[in-house]
Amino acid sequence: MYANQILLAEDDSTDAEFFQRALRRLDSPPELVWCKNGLEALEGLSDVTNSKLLPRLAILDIKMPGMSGLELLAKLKSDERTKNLPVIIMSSSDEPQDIAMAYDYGANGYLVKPNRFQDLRELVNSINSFWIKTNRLRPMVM
Amino acid sequence: MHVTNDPVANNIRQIYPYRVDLENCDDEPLRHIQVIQAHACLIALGKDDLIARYVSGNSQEIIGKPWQEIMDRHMREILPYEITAQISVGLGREDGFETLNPIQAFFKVGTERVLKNVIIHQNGDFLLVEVESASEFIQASRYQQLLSRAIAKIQQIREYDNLFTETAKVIRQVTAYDRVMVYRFDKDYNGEVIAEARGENLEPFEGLRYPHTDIPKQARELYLKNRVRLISNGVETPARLHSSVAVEEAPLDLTMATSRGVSPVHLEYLSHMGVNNSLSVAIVLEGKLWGLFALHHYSPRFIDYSIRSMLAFVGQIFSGHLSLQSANRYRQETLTRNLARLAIGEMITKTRNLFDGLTKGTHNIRNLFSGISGAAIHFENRYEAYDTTPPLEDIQALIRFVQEKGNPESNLVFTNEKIGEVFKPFEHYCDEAAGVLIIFMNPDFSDWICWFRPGISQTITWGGQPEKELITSEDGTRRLGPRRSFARYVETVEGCSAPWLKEEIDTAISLRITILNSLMERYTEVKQVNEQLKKALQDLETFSYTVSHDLRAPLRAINGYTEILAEDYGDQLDAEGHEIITKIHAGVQQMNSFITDILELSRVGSGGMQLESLQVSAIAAEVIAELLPVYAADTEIRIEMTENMPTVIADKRMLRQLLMNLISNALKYMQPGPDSESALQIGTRKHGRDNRPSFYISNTGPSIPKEYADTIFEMFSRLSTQSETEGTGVGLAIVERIVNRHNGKVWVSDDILGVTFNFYLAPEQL
Repeated sequence: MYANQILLAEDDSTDAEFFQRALRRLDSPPELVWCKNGLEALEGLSDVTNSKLLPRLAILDIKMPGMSGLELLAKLKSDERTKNLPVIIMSSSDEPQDIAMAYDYGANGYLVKPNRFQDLRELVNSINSFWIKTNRLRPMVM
Repeated sequence: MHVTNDPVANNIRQIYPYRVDLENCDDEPLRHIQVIQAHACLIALGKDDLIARYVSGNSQEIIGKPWQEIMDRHMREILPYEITAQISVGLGREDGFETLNPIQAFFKVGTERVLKNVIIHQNGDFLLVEVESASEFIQASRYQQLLSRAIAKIQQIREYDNLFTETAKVIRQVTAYDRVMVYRFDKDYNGEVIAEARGENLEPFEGLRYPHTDIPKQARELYLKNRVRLISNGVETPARLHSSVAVEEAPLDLTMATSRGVSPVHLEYLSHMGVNNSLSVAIVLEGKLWGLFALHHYSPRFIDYSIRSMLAFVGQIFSGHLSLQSANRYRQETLTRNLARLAIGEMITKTRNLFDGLTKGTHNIRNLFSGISGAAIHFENRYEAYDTTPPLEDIQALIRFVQEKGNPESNLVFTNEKIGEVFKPFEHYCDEAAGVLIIFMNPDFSDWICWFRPGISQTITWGGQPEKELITSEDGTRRLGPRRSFARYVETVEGCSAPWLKEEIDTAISLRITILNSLMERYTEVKQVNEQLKKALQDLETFSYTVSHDLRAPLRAINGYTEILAEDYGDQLDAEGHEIITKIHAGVQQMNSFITDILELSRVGSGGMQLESLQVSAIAAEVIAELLPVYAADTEIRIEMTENMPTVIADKRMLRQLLMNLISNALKYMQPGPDSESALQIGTRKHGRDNRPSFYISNTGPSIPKEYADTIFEMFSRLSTQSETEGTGVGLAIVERIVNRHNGKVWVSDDILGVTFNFYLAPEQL
């Protein structure tokens, strides 16, 4: 079973705040679990994997102190309990090699951080309606 | 000249033990003359057995014994005890008899006891014992006096030019000869009287030249070994040298004999001059015969051995003084030139230009040497001539000539004082370029500096016509006679430049090294700067990549909060507040495109390219579709694009960026044309000599002034800062980078619709 949660690993508090604000404007917004880096996110997830429910979706920034988004992604995808958790990489880089690398590590999607808040809102909207709603229908394999 | 009987030829036949070719003076074997001058008696003792093997025929007159009683006897039976004792001493000494000579002894001649000087030299396997008169009145103290006076005088002379005349005077005072000349050889051993002291009524010889044949080669070689040569009486009959049967008529080498007989040819020469007695002292400088003190007397006289050896010593003092003075002069001139050379080197370093460095300073190649008509430099395919020089093609022909001929002295420096003689094309440049000095920068002769010296007419006053005379006797012998006439004979030599002095050649060699050093310094500097630039550029690219990413975060913050402000608190703001929000957005937008461009620029500068064949028209159409709503949402624009444009090989992403930048540029700066219509045209046309297909993007609007045509591709360059149109100034720099990475070219022209950007790419030719 999934909790109605989105995990966001993002070291930039402003970007996190924008994401939260954009999320809140949805009709029935999911709860945002914000982790400041990959390590924090991994700890949070190991808790939920044992006792609680997994979030519906993880959104990871690439450049983060301690553990980068790609590192975390690799760990999630190599762990049986979390490998089916949809992971979207969200970065300010639109470098083709960054995008290619993210998919190589097993990302389910890659988003370039929009410059405009309005664009972010639209993006969050579509994430919500596509990734969260569609995943609700999928059977969960633990 | 024909003569019925040539006494000189007859004499020659008599005095040599073998047949002598007389047509060539250089072949006359002077050391084998088997006669002794009448003033001395010579006895040659075997070095080991001390038995007399050669005796001169005049022994009776000089030592009181006929030669037959001397031959094959041990020295003890011939010579007084004083002499035999000294011979034993001398044989045991390392320096031989030099410090013993002369040994004085009394000989019983007839009924008288006569004091004689005995002079001993070792020559091969024989001791040459010469007995001659000793002047009793010359006391040892008197030699000393004369000698120290002469030396003191010579050493007081400070002026180089006075040295010769003063020395001649001193020698004349000491010797009382009619004429004392300082005779100097040139490099071909022609002689010149450079100073003289003479008796009152004598005709001056100073300034006269004598051809090298007057003192032939083998005579000069004898002077190096035996430095003083006395011919005491030119008309006296010499004494024959008899030899023992034990030596089987082998000629005795008389190189070291002071009383060696005189060549009949030379005696003839002296008699033509009216000279009866001559005394010559060799002046040897650095192992070479520099010249002679030539002493002439018009009547017979005998000069005591002590005075002769004193003169030899004066000659040594003189040459020492000479080498000191010439070394001083050399050093001084070299010092001056060195300063000039260093100044030139500094100038090259300072101006960073070889040509300016060599020619623009106070010291330069045009005044480094005196009496230069012109100079020329060839360096790295650039040629410059200064002042008067022959045309380049002739100089180049000369360089080839030197290169092909090879330069025996050194590969790097070539000098000639009369180049027209060896290299015919320069014959008619005699006036301005008779002499050349060339230094070659590198072994392949491609870079050089060449100096020219004008030809000067030189007047040479010969002491008589230099040519010798061929004398043919009735018996068929032919010989070259010595010059008969000593009347002044003035010859004018054309087409020779002033000589290149040793110090000048040395300066040229040093200059070459200075230039090479300066060039090497400059090359190293340029290389360092290049590497620094490369590194800086790389750093800049890394930096701009990182910075532009990092700049995006705060930019998003500004943008985001402004939007949230507008959305959530918009109703609390008045019209001005909303206007400010719009301005913040515009600012952010501009900053954002700036960052995008910088990123793009660093991206096209590095990283790999994936080349493929691409349709320009297809990509251009895509780009136009994307850009039109942004730049020309409200404007009517006529767009023309040539169909079926050729494909190009390029990296797709970069080509798209290139078209994006050029088309957006065209749309941004577009203004209505003459018929009030705004238009964009994209097509291809042929460019350049090889008809290379190039692409163009042309738009209506004012043309770009010529002076900006190149600078617009530089980073951050914008034609007008007050321009209403937005732009980062990076767009065209990106275009140029992309084109460069594709081995292509981009340029602007003011044809077609107004402003036209043209480009071609040729990555396949990389």
